[in-house]
Amino acid sequence: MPILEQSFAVVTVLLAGVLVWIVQLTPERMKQTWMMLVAVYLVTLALLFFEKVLAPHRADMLQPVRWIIWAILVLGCLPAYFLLKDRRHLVAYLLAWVVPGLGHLYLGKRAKSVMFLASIMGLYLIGLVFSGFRGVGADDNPYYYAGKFGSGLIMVCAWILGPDKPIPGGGESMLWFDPALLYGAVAGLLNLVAALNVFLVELPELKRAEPVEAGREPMSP
Amino acid sequence: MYMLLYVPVCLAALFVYETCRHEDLPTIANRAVKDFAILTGVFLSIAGALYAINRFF
Repeated sequence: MPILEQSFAVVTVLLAGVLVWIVQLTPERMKQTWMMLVAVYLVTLALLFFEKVLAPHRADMLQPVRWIIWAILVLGCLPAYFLLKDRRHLVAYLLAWVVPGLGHLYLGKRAKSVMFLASIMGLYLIGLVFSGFRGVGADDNPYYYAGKFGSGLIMVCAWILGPDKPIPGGGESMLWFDPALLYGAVAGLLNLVAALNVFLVELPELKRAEPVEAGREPMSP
Repeated sequence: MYMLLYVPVCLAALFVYETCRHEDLPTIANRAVKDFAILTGVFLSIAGALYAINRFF
């Protein structure tokens, strides 16, 4: 079900943009974020058009196209590379997407890093425990499934858990089961908000080497 | 069932929200708990008002 998966991944990224807008962005930063999201959305739409309209019967081509789409979603911040004044934000964004809080740790915001890691991964782990360590497939619940794209760590966990259907086993309470599956989705979406927050971190200016004036002799020791 | 959804998800979302806005841990924790209390109070007030309207009017 590639088209459904990719569509919900795009919705996930756009939803993150809306949430970041709510969490107060300056007009300049808001413009950068939206340009980034629009670029990701347009490229993804182009690839979906290729998959659905131009080559619907080429099953052998679908898998590479799918990987390209995921690569673009993951590296969707590349347009920001040309817009941002400080490239460290880009590295921080990628790190924050991989592990909640890692991007803030890279930028020196230790308290924020701890809080993001504790709140996001705590929610995800509680959900995993109460759902009996089961993943959610796109066929079962695409809304819950979309959440795993919010974090590389959650994607790896989902990959390890496998695409099993979320059927409660003997040990799990039915009362807890469905909310526990939702926790994983919410954790992924919250991590997108946390990852985009790295663009708001003010960084100290990098020290640059002073240019040597033309005609001036270097000082002799 | 609804409380199982509301309490952890709302708390996590508010912690992330306040972490985006503030720098130090005590401020983040205090404001997140305060936000949660205010939000819960608002929801309970609305629920109480709706209950009263249905019950007495």
